[in-house]
Amino acid sequence: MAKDSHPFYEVYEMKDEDKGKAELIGELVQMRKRIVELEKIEAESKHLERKTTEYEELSKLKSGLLSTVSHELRTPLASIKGYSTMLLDYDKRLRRTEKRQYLDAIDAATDRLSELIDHLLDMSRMDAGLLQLDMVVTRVDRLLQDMVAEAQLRVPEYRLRLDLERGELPPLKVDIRRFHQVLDNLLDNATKYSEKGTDVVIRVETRACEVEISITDQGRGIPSADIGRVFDRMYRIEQRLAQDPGGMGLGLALCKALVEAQGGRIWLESKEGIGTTVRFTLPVGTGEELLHAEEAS
Amino acid sequence: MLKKHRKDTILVIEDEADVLRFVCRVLALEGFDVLEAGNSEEGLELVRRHKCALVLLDLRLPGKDGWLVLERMKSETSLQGIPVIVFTASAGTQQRARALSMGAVDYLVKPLSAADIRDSVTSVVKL
Repeated sequence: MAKDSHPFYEVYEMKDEDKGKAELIGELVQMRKRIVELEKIEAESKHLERKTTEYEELSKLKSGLLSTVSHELRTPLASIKGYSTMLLDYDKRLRRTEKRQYLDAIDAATDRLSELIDHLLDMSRMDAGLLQLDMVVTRVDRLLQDMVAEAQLRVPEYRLRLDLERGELPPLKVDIRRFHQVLDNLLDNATKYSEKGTDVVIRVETRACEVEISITDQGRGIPSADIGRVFDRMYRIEQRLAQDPGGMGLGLALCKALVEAQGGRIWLESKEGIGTTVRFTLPVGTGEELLHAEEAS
Repeated sequence: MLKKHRKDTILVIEDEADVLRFVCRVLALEGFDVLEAGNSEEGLELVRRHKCALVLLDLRLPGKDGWLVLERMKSETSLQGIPVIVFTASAGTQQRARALSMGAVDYLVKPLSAADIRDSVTSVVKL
């Protein structure tokens, strides 16, 4: 085929000047390749650096977690050990009423300990993806009234008020036990950080395809700098404040995980010295689903 | 268990109400006069105002922690001579070494029994 008649390219004799250019281009191409390689190495090393930092942070978090867990578990244990040995050692010198007080304190510390263990187990179940939810479509009006009445018995020093909308609430799609757990946890927080004698209002409102439940207290509130982090695991504001009511900082993290696992959302608003409102939503079930659930039960 | 009134005053600094009540009651049953403080500021104020034979100090306190109380007590001339027994929920050996090197006479790890308190205190405050 003739040189000038090739359909795709032209072949021509290279002049010396062109050869010089070609060599230069070749060198440039090589250089570019090396740069790309270097960039790859740099990116890999940055990635490794990031991983190292993450690992270091994780390791710090882990040792912090261990120390918090150990402290929190030992605190109720300290009450149990102290009061029980006192009852054993000084039995004859203690009055009946005093003994009764110590037994009550042992009982409360045992409950606290078992609650802490439950929280830890739930968290690790959730981390391992082993948390199983038993979702049902059910009416919760009565359930909510019972839950609040039960919580009121635990905290007679506070006024818990349930503000339900007029008429029936739509059926909710929930895991009843986990719903109970979330509400209990939020009510505990609401009273733990409030003065005795104050009000805690539980309000339930129906939105488009969800129900929003809010818990409003008149407590000390959360500093604005901390609001974004209160749902983080092991994040506790009070550790650096006086009158720390204690805790592992797992409660809100667990509530968030449980609400989200049920298809809802959770968030809060707070003003220092005024109070906090925690809101969470749960999805509404359809009438058909309710019918199925009722038939099944 | 001794019922004799020793008249020695012991100050207990502890923020956990249950532990504070338990430790103070054991000391009172052992015949000591007991002062109690729920935080470090209150504790330092009491130890400066009263003649204490011994201080029982929790290392993990809200606000300024117990380490600061220990440091202050060992640096203020009028308080240096008062023995301090520290107690904490952390069993770490480093913490123990640090507390002892800072001048604590004993390091107790919670949970504590009535006997732990009794034995440690009576080994420091002699009859």
